[in-house]
Amino acid sequence: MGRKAKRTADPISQGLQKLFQSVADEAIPEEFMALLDQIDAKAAENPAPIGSPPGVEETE
Amino acid sequence: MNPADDSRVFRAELVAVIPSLRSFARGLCGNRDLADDLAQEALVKAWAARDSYRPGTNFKAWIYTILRNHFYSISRRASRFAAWDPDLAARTLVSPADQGTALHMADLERGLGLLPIDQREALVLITTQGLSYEDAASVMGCAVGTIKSRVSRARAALTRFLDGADAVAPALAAGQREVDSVS
Repeated sequence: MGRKAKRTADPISQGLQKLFQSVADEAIPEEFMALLDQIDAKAAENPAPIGSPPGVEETE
Repeated sequence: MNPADDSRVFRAELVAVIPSLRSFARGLCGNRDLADDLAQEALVKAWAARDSYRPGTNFKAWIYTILRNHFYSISRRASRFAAWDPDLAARTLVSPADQGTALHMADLERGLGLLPIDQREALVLITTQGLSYEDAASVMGCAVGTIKSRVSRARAALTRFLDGADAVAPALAAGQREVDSVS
C-alpha cells in the first residue's frame, strides 16, 4: 500500500482537512443510492466474479 | 467467494467510498453539481470495470483513478470542468462554523482554487484524502517524487497567499490558466 504521507499539524493541513471533511460528512444524495440500486439490479441479471477476466471461470 | 457475494462486497465498497469520492471530486473541479456527476459516473465506471479490481488492493485509489480519468476526459471536451472558479468554490466547499480556526476558510478555499490543478490535486489527495504518496502517485500517474514536489509547491504557494501576499494571486491564477490551456 505504501508509506502513509506524513501527517502534520500545520494550519493549512488542518484547514483543508476541515473543509473536505465537511463535504464527506454531508448526507449522501438519494440519487447515489438509486444509482447503486440500479447497479444491484444489473448485478442480479449478470453476475460475474470479481477479479476474473470476463468470460473466464474461477478455478479456485 | 461466489459472484453474489462478490457483488455484495463490491457494493459495500462503493457505498463506503461515496463520501470521500464526492469530497475528492469537489476538490478536483470545485463545483458541487459537477462533482456529484463525476462521482456518480465513477461509480458506474467502477462497476463496469470491477473485473479489473484486485481485492485487497487500495479500493479508494482505484476508484479515484477512474474518477480522475473521467474528469480529464471530459475536461478536454468542456473547459468549464478544468477551471476551478474560486468564488464558486467558496460557496461549494462548506466552511465549518469554527471561528477559532487559525485560518480564514474562505481565503483557504480561494487560494486552493488558484493553485495549478496538478498541485491542487496532489495536495488534496495527500492532505485530505488519506492517501500515501505511493497511492497518490498511482492515481495521478506520476512518480512519488513528483507528488512530493507538487505538494511542497502547493503548500508554499498557499502559505504565501494566506500570508496576505495578494500579489501572489495573479501568479497562481496564471499557473491555472497555463494548465487549463493544456487541458
